[in-house]
Amino acid sequence: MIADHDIIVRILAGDTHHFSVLVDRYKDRAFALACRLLGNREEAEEILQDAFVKAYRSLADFRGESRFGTWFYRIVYNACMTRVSRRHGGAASLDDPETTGGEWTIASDDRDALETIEREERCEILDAELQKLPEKFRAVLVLFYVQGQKYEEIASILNLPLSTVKTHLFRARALLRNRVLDRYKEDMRAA
Amino acid sequence: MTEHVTNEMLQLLADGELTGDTALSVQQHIRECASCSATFGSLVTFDRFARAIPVPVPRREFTQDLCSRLGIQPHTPLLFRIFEHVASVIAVLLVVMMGATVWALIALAGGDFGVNQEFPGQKVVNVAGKWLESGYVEFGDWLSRIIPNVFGGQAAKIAVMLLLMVPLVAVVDWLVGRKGTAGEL
Repeated sequence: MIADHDIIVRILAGDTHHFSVLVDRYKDRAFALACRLLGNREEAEEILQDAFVKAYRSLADFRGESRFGTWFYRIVYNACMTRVSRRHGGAASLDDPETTGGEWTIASDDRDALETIEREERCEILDAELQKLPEKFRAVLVLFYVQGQKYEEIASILNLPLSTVKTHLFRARALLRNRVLDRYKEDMRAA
Repeated sequence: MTEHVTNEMLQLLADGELTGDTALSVQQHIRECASCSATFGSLVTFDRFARAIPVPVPRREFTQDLCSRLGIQPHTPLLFRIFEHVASVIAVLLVVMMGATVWALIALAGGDFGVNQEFPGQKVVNVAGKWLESGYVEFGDWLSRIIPNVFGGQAAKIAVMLLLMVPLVAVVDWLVGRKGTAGEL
């Protein structure tokens, strides 16, 4: 597989068709991020197209200090947050009061409950419950679990201090875990 | 380490974000402490669970649409390009074989098909046919002299067939490529 850096060198040298290699390499994960942040496929695809166009036009400015993926996901994330912020009438803070502060306990019987949930049901529950989390939590969870990014890369993409990423990820997981377990218990009671 | 490890530290270990002595020390504590071991197990279980987050994918035409918007050609791997040419060659061969079969069947049924019957522009076709035939024979003779006598002396004819197929394959390739691009726009 050709390294991203080599592809960029070729594109800048005039072999523009190589840009489609980068597109194919990053579109799925970037789309997953945009989709999760915006909660809408059409909007996510529109944002992603714009992000790729922006990346293509500013490729000469990419200095290779970070990985191409990190640089590109940052473009996608910023575009998504601008769209989300517009939706919220320009509100900068997207915090859910329910998710700030508080204790984050982990009950030992969680483990058994989680293991009993079938694969198909897991996808359904995660899909629904993830979408109910605030955008900042969704972003860290998708970057960590779907894209397999390390903490430092997430911090770089989201332009946040490393300590904030750790906190967000920890709280996001705790919140998602609690919601998944609550839903599971409700389903069990209803059955 | 005698005190319990914080949940944050256990999570860092589960995420592979702890290294060196700190990681070793936390691992050692987990081995000795049932409570921390249970919590760590719970964290790892949730991690496995969360990896089932569904991943939506964009439309199949996404890359093609984007390339059209940017005015660039998408990159096609070499093997795929070779496969495309082979497919064109097979397509042309099939058409030629079908045409030859139909011609042979009609000729068998009616005898001397198209030779004794009058149709508009027959003279032009006859002249062109004669010219192609003589050109083919001359070209075939020339090739016979330079190509070794293989396949029972048919090498020259095969070479002519292959050469004649090149422009046909190129036309089919062009048409297929054009249709593919136009379809995405």
